[in-house]
Amino acid sequence: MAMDRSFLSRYLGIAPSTREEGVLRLLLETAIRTVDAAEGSVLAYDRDANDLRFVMTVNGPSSLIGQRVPIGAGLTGLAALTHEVQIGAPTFKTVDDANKATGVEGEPSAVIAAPMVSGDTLIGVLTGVRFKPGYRFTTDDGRAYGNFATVAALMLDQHSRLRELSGGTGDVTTAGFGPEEARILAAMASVARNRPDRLPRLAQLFEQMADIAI
Amino acid sequence: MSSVAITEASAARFDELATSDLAPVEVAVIDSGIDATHPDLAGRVVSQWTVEDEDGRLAVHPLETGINNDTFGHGTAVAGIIARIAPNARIHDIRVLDARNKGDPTASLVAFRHVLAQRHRLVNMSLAIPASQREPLYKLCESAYQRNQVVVAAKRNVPVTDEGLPAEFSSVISIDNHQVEPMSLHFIEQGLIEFATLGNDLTVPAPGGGYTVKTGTSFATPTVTGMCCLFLGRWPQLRQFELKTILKARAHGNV
Repeated sequence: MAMDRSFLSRYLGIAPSTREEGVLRLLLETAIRTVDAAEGSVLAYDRDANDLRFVMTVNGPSSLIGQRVPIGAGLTGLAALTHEVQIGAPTFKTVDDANKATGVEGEPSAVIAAPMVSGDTLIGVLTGVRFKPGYRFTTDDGRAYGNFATVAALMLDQHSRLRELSGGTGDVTTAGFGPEEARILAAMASVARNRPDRLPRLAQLFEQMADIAI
Repeated sequence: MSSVAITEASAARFDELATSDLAPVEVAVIDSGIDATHPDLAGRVVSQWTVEDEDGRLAVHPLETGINNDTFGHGTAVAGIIARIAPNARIHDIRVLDARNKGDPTASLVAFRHVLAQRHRLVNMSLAIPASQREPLYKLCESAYQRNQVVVAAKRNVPVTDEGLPAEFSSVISIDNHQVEPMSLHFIEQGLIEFATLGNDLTVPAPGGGYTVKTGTSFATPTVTGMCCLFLGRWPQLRQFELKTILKARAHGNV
């Protein structure tokens, strides 16, 4: 299992050693075992650069981590843009070679790419690779991998929403309040985030202030 | 259209139809573009277009015909299947998948309007459009039906929120991928998707001149588009509901 915590944190919003990272790893490992893939990876969608980046691999080379994959080409790009599972194989020179699937040792014989989508929002792509000549992924493999990718996307989306609600930005907690109320709530959220040890004293002060105001 | 023609079409062998005297049929492929330089597609792609941003709005732009307009291989595979089945297909390539538009779902709507305006008889949609575009897409498919333009659309490989749009609409011919004999059909008794054909392990042309193997509903769909192209080449007056009647009869008769 290879991963780079800075990439996980930056592109998928997963802080190091969180449960979400563990669940994502578990999902990827289960996915590749389910479809009998040799390797698997998670690519995160970088909205600003409009490309995909490797953030996690299972059984694959760790040197992939951080590498960019253009969204405008290939099977992973196709999965990202269409929001559909894509099943593919290498390109052969002739129809006969393609039918026989005479692969090259060490080169992928089959690839599967499943988009991680929550609603209409692309989060990344889950990939799986086989190397044995003649091995291909089936429609059932595609459905299974697609389901794992959907669960991974939902998990990360929920994680991101919870992070916002718990005061990551303050935007959600102050929604619907006036500017003064929002300032107070934002200040409290900042204390809760940075100095949770001061919260009891802050609560005491607020109770005293309420007594004065009333 | 006479019932005799429908009966004949329901029983005709595809290989005999393909070698018979057929009228040309205009077939639009709304997809990732087509490599028109591939030997399998040489002379078969009669126009090429791309949907690009123009002053802040997406518009269809003509391209030089006979170029490689596909960086993904999806549209080339789809067009290759149609060309192989139907020698009378005149293929129009409308590229909507592009990194620059980030797969903007409205690109497919722009392409659809172009295809309606051009009055292409058959439209292959092996891409599913997000549910956020359901309403405008529904109206476009209704318009196609009223103009006697036939849309053949793919079910999603992994349906989560929907079965695939426009495949869910009754105004189109909707296709799933089942493990059946090549060029045979299965009628799906329940649900929104009507027909299934083989979309597994299909050897298809790849951009750059080679061949690859593809699996998915995207590649079952052009098989049915090719079948419809043969029927329309032989019996040009057929309407969409008559094509569905023929496909259903063939599914039940295992022709």
